[in-house]
Amino acid sequence: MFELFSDIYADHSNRFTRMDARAKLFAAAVTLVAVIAAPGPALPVMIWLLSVGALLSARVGAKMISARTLSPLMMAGVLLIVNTLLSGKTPFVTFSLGQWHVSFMKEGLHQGIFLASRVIGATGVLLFLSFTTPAHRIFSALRWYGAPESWVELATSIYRHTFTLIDTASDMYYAQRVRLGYRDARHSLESSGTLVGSVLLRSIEQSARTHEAMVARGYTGGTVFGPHPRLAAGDALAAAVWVACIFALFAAVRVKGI
Amino acid sequence: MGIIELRGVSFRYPEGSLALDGVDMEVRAGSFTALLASNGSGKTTLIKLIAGLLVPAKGSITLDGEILSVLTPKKLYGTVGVVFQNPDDQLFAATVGDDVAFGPRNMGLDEKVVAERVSEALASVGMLHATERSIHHLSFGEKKKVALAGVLAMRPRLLLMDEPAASLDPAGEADMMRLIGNLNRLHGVTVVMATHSIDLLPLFADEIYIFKNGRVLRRGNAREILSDHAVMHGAGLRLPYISSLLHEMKMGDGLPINGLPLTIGEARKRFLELIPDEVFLRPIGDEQN
Amino acid sequence: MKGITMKAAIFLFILVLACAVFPPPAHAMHIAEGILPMQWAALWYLFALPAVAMGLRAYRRESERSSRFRPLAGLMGAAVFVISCMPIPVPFTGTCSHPVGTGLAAILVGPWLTVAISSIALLLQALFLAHGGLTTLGGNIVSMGIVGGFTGYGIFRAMRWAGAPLFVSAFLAGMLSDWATYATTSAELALALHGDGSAFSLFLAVLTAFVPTQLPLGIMEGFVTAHALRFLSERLVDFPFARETRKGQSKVVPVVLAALLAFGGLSTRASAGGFVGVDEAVVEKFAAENGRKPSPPLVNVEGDLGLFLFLIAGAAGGFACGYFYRSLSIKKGAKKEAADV
Repeated sequence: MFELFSDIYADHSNRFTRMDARAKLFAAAVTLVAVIAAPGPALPVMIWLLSVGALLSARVGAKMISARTLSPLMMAGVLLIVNTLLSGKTPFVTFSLGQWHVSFMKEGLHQGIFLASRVIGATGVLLFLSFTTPAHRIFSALRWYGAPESWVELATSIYRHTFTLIDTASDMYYAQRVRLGYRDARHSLESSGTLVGSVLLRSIEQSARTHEAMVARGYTGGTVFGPHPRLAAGDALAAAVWVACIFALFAAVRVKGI
Repeated sequence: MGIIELRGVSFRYPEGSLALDGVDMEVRAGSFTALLASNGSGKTTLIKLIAGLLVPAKGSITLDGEILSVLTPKKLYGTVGVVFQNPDDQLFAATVGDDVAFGPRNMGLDEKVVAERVSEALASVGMLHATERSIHHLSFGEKKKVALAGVLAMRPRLLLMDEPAASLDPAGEADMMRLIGNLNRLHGVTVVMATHSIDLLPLFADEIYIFKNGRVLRRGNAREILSDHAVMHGAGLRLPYISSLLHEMKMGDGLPINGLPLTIGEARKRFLELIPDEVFLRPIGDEQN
Repeated sequence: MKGITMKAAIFLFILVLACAVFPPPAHAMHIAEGILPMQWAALWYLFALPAVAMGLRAYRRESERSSRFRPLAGLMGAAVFVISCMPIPVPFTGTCSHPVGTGLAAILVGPWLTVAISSIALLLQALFLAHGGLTTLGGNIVSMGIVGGFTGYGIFRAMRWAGAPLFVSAFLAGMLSDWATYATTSAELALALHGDGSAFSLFLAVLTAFVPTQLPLGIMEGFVTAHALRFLSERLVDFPFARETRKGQSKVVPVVLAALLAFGGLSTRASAGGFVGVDEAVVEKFAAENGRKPSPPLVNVEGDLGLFLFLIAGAAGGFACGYFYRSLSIKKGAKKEAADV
């Protein structure tokens, strides 16, 4: 019932998944800023190509990558069309429907293409991060960078329980379906509402049992985190080198105006 | 005096129905006690009462002679470990290692000690290789083992288990029972286990309590209980299959069996006593010559 | 203004056509990764982060009150996340989409905690489903966590105070929180991407462009919220929202009023003068370039925008009235059953 989470790839073992999450996060953050601050489409497109290359080398299928890129691209597409119709001064395509004239503007088109490049470049970085790093490592890394402990605790707890709830929700959905719960629009809405309510109810009930199990292991309300693992020098160096390259690349495209 | 003693314990569900009625129990240190009952007879409630998660409406529960309610949580859970039926209710961290470390960390132990406890506990259940894995990628049997490890890491003297073998496949069930048996025989951990799976019990249990509708129907050692046909059926349970077979042959076909075997090993001995030697003269392979 | 409307209409037509030809799952409006340029991405973070901090304060305060709270918050958060990933059939369009879920969450755990939960849910969605993004996380938290959560909570509370039954209150809360999110997202997009053109005209164009998917989505979210809340009220022993309606107040008036207020207020503000600059900039430009008067718009929204929004307000109010009317027209004894339908 649910789309496949990219999470499963993060569990494989390759040179990218083995890298420390803190290094990856830093590199990704700098790259993202570079992409959205870029003066033109060249840098974002290069980043996209690099990300896709890295992912393909990590054996993430092309089909998966394109499935994940499709949705952001479509939003960019809609915005491209809107922009082309609305902004700019030089029409390059004009057509008429009866007495109405519609013009697509060149400047708007360039704006739109630039926007689309930004979207795929940034999505590339996002996909790289998500396919190579499980969420709890990202949360742990954020904690190291100073995120509040209560946020990290809540995030880890949500992440942990999501998967069991997804299984439960799927089972309930199929159980409803085989009993014709989705036979028409009205019943589909009702069944969906029941499904949502059931998921909430299940989570409330489970939290009581989880709480008991926590108390039975000495939980009194506070949370104790474990220590952070050592940051490997190799990973830190790789991140630093990457960031330096991004700076250089950014300076280059600014100078060239692309 | 036993490590755990219950005197006249009664408990009522929030809706009003009686879960337990006047239960007396005594668990000796180092023993393996099984609570045998069919579903809905209050065994989970009893486990929660002994774990101090619920308070009895009537009667008293003592641990090492002290009433449970006066014990601090730290003292209580440092001594009593509880493993619930559904592992998903008990695994709350993202990785296996983190989850097993939850108990020791709450006990305030030093991080080095915590790490040692974690590897020790995971090794004892055979899951040391999975320390860095995400919990939601584990199979059901693996989750059950990790849940057990999480409790073992606290080094409890008494282990309370609610249906540890439920929903496991036959290999998993045998594995789990062997694990628990070793904890009891080799490491001296007192075990109290609620279950309705019969066949492996005779190999491990010292004392068995039969429950029905919140009352103790009978208590005694494995031999007494598991051969008491009437009580077992009255409680909605059955004998071990091998015992059922021989019981039927004894009662129905007049087979002169000595006593009622509970395990395959015993049954074999009894059969060998009955079968004349001539039957064994020719080894099976000779038929082909 | 006329020129904009014309283009928006043509575009709308193309979009609806495209949706009919190959319907992708229309998502609730997450702003995709990379769409916001740096200044805007950063600005929305500046709004979002303090709100999340407030949410965490509420979380810590509740945790201190009861040790049961933390596992409950984690599981509810997971439930909200799972719900926001569920494909639910949308009325009228025949496609599936995902509810925003923050309205419902805010009703159950309060708006501040919802902001904290939605920051995590949105991060997980970005990472593992590529809905939304990391740079746009701030913007999405503002539109879904803050605006969606507070709108849903506020509408629900207001309706219950006015004496509306649970189902209707929850329906309006869910629907309006979804629409408020959609409006906020459109505003964020317009502000960030208008370039040389007018931000307001881009806002309207984006708003209109997504109407075919977002309008029914809001209705879907309303129904799902209402059904889910009623389901919970029937099963949870300590459900806090099943309070009896107040004293015998007339139910029709507050419901209609609330619905009208929600959109009526918007419409008066909208028609009171936001269009002048846009109108002149576009109309004059066209007139100058083409040397003739612009053609009449397909949908005469100028000046009629107010009426258009009022129409929506009336539709929402009328729907609520009609829903109510059955419960009012049946005898006392059978009233409860009728209200449950």
